[in-house]
Amino acid sequence: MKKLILSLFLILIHISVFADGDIDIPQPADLDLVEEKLLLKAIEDAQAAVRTSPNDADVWGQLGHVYLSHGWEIPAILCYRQASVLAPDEFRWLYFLGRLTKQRQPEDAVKHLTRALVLRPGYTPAHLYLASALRILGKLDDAQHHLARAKHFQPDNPFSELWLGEIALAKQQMKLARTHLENALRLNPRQSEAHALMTQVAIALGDKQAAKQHAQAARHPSQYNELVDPLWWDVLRAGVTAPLYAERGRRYMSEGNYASAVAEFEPLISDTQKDIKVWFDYSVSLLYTARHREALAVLERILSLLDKDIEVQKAKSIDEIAYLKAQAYNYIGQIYYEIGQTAAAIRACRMALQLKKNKTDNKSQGQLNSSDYDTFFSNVHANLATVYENTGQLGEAIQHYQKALELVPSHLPVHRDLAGAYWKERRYTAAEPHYKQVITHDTTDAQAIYRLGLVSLMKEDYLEAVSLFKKVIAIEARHVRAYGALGVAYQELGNIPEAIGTFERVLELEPRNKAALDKLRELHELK
Amino acid sequence: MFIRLYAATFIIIMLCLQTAQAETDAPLFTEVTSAIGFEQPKTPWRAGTYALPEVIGSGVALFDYDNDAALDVLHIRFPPPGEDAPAPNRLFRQQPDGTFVDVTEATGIGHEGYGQGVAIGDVDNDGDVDVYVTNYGADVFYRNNGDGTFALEDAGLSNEAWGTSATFGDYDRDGYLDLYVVNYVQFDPEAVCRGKHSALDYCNPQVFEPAGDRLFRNNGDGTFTDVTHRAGIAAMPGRGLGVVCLDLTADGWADFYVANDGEANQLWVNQTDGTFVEEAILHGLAFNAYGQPEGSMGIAVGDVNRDMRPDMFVTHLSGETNTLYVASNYAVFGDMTEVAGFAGRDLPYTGFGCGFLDFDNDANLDIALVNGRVKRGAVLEGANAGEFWNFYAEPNLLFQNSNQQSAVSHQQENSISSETSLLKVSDGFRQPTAHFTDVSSRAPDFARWVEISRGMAFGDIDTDGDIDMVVSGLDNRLRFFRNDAPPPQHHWLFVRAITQNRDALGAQVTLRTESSTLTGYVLPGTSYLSSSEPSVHFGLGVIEAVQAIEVRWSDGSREKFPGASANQRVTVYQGKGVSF
Repeated sequence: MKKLILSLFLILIHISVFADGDIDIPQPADLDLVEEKLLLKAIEDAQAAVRTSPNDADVWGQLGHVYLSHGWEIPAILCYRQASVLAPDEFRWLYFLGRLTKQRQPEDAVKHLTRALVLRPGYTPAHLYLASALRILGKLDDAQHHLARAKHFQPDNPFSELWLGEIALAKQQMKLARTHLENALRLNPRQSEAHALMTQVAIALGDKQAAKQHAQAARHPSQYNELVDPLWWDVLRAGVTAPLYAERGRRYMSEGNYASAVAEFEPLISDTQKDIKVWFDYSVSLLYTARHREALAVLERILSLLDKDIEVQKAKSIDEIAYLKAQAYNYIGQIYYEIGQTAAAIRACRMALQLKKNKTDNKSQGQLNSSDYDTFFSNVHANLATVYENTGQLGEAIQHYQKALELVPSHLPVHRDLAGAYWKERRYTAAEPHYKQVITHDTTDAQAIYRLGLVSLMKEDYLEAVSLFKKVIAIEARHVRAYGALGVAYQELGNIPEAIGTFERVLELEPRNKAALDKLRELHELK
Repeated sequence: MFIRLYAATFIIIMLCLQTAQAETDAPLFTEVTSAIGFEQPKTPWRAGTYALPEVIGSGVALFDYDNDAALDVLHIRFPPPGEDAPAPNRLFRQQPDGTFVDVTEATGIGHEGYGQGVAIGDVDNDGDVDVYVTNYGADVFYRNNGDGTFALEDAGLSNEAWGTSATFGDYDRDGYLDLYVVNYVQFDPEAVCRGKHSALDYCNPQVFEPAGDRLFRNNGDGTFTDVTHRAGIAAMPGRGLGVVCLDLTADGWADFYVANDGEANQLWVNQTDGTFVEEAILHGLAFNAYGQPEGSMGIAVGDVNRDMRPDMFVTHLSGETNTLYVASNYAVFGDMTEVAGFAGRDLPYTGFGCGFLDFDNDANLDIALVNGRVKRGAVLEGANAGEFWNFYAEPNLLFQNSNQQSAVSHQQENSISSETSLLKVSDGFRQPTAHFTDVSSRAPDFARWVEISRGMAFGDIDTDGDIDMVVSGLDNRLRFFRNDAPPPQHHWLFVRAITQNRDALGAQVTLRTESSTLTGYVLPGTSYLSSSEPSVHFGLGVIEAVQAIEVRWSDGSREKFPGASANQRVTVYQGKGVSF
């Protein structure tokens, strides 16, 4: 009976909309305030398509996309609704309808998304939005089921774990909540929501220390891992205003598709563009598509805007401007290094470093995140050190690696590079603590372990050397030099049979290895 | 065409049926603005210029400035967009017949600034209340001369930043009221912001740097000292709009809770040595249930689940729920918004002024809130704010607490399962709470206006034992709503708590009855930019008398006072009860 009434109602709507040839096209209420000609044209075109083909679900959906991409949700909902009436078995319109109504009309959203998932069961974002609507309605078990499905289809998406954690928290299942939230943080350590919820879990579990740590982490703005939602691209592509171009560009960058990112940023680049973030993103995209000269020109333009443009300067504090300039110089240094102009690269990195504030001035950093700030300048020091190292100026290189570590003592790649630079200078014992740092965090770094083994050999700590070389061989079974060094260690320990066996293994890998042949000859004589 | 006609006829029939049904229910509130002597604006508010202060609005205070036992009204005002014309604040005195007369000039309180918020408190313990007004621009302080006039004074209360809400409270337990002033952002009038569709609109607050709040310590001699830095408040500037001063950590010392716009709310926890540490995240008051910051505006405080702990309701932007934080036994709050039934109905609206009030005197705290966007949206049916502002206009909302708990005993309360109970006293981490139902349609005078409302204050204006409301609009308009909701069989009690010759701001008042307890707070400085009657109102339902009145004063001490029969105003004085 309900279905019959609904059908009659839909027929009534359909006839009332189209009976006299007039089509009620949903209109944004404030369309007359829009000045952007491209947008007006896009709307006009999409509406014209609807008028031409009023029974075509796709044109209604496209009009919905145009509205939604520019922030008009209500008329977009009406368009998707019409599209789903015309094509009731089309997943997309049900999905967008559910997605847009999940907060205002969660019951409706549940219906739309449930139906959508019958049509396309494995679409992770649909499971997530359905879970969200169910959560709003207090149907925690059903929400959990769909989050579990989302996790099954997309195990690396941190949202399933976050929301599973939230539901477990709501159910007072604290240990389960902790497990989910720990997983969420493993997938995205900078998801502040997970830290905020972990704070509550930790308090409930009586772990005040952990609560404080998570509370501190929750203060930072959340940095999301983008939810993989291919359909959202359809909406984004319908956008014709500047923010949409920028958003598309940034999404392409996050996917590593820098050529497409350049194409999106290009329409935004003009003399009137004052958004420094757009300029930066454009320059980075150019850099990663090897358009070095153009990237350099854009970076010079950024420096000019920061130095001379009053409008840009007014929007930023002095510290922010200095920080942005430092970032521009760092990229310039990177470009010069890549095109082989090392002297210019060094100059640019040094310019960046000059813009770093002294520790005593840190209070005036204002809104700058001190952790990010230190990490950035640690990277600049490391970059400069790399340039020095590759131009043979090892002393300078070591100095800057050390400065990089002063700023971020746990900076693993810098420990590795500094150890390498010491090694080149034959300062093996100086390299040792840095290689130790490396293998503490990365137990599979064969080169670090091998070199630590060599240091042990030099220190005549043969047992330690044997242990380290064995680790290297466990990681890289064909590491010839590790076998050779292990043979020497055995020999020094007086274990001649093991030494002979090890050098024979070297010869299996490199039959003409002269050192192994010599050692074997020597060992057989000793025998 | 025939089908359209049929559909239209059907709709008309349905409307007639609904109207006939609605007529059987008397309206819960009646607008009495004109009847009590307030003029309404004759022309629509001037079109906006997209300067952020234009959409922040201003507050209203219900207070008794002349100690005649009748509530007076201070309306904080600001000039129309793009105009330099002064819009002085206005004070209206209540006459014995319940009407109001403008006494601004006679009292000398009509500051001509860009008014925002108001805090009311007796800073010199001389028995009359003083007034602090925040401005977009320098704030002002008026000392009550005790003769019906006010004197504009500096008193060490210098705040040049963009002040929004402010509240008095005795954080250092010295017997004198201190002042916390919330500041919003460092607004740049030349900033231009556009929406995703490229049209001009009001900027997000995040476009501007936060302004940083101020804390002023009362020196005890009528002057104040700015202790913002010394107290540690300066460590973490936010973009604040709302504030309350109350012990929220159950240690007996007053804390400050600040509602920030688009970023984590702050709970400045009193360290008892004159300093504060920000711990909102640790206490569950910074974010919503999902760990996300929201655009927080107004704050209501009340004990919705009768566990003698303060719960809070914070209003937010459209697309965000207004959030109900319910306290647990270890001073950690849980977001119970969805459980309480809010998610959905209020989601499309941007909430500002709000308050817990037991409008029907049934012993359950209900919620009223006023709305109005800060970003342009679709024009809603019935919009009544002029061509420009209709895009921002929204209706107000009234929610009734539908729990039936007043009929059950305290012992029973504890045994009711979470599945069956709408309210349960629990030591659990997230206990269930009362359930709220939208009854806006039963208060048509209050909810029918589709306008942009901001400030909201509560008090028994007509002294008939229930809570009336006043709302300030973005067009410098006031609307008054007389409460007609309580049935005759529902009783009430007002308790005024006095310490040091003044209202005991921050005190907790608990009524003991045979079957249950009811708790309220002396907190005039809640809602948004506004100040309400300081006496604590209790709806008692069918209970005709209370066995005892207990007060936990803001210095941490507790006293018990004799009970009282219903339907009267009772005043209790610190030091006159029995300590316990």
